Amino acid sequence: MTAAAVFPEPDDAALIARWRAGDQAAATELVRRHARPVARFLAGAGAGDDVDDLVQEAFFRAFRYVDRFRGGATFRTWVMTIAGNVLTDLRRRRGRRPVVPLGDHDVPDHAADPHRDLVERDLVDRMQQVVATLPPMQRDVFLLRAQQGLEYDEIALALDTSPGAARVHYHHAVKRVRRVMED
Amino acid sequence: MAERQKRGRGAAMGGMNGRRVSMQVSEQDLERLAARLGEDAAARLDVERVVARLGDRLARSGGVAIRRPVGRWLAAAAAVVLVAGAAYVTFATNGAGFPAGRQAGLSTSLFDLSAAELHTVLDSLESPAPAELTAGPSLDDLDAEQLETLLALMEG
Repeated sequence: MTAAAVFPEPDDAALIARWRAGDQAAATELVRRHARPVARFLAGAGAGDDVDDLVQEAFFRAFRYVDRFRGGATFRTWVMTIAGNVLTDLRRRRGRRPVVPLGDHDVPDHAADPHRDLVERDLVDRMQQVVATLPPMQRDVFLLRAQQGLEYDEIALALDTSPGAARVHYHHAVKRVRRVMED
Repeated sequence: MAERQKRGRGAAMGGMNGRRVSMQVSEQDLERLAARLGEDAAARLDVERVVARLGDRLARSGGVAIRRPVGRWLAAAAAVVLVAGAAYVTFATNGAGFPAGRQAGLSTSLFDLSAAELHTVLDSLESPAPAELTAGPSLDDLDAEQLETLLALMEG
């Protein structure tokens, strides 16, 4: 019998309860669990070189205001929505359009077809460029749906909207992404 | 399905050697490409660095923020505005005028008060409201015209 079977890892809800009670180690564990997916969300939204700082800021706000977490969405999704707001705030403060760096890729040696992989990365770059220019709601819905694979009802809970509205935002986002990518 | 695969291959040919080829992007392509968005940045993220910096900030900030009962204060402030406004409208539309000493008080809008003055008003709500204020007219006592006047007054 493994240690994990004897001492199963606490779920997010248990860690959140421990953090509320003042256990900082619980917060650390939550960051280790969810930081990379949140970073992926932010980078997908066009955060560029600010990803590290924005991940930190998103978790900081999440832990400071954890009482606002209602538990309808998962903790990870909730932090992603905070991250989206943090990114939007940053852009507003800077007052400029997002700049998404291109060609900043490490090509993995293990890629089954390096050529095809490069081509796909070019397409991913193009997609990232257009996603970064979407209105915040469309951007967040698109990423939560297409990148994170969430259902509309989960997205609606996270973004405090209705599943129907989330579907409409996704439809508009896809239309715009397609238009640019097919251009 | 065959069409989806064909279109998928079409998408994969786009951008070869720097060329941008016009193409159709299927739903399948879109989701596959979207799933790869940000994967490099996520792989590069120094999680332990984030943990360390975040730990410092949280320690300095004192942990979970204490929620101030903003809703209760706002409700109390709104109640004051409504009661004062209702009294104003009733007296004004009935043509009875204001009791001596009351008019000056009501003509001062809460919006004119400073933060410190507002706090004083809100603090006073900790104790029961004065009888002359609670005995005043409620919204239920107002007719449609009086309600409209009240709304107009509140909207400035």
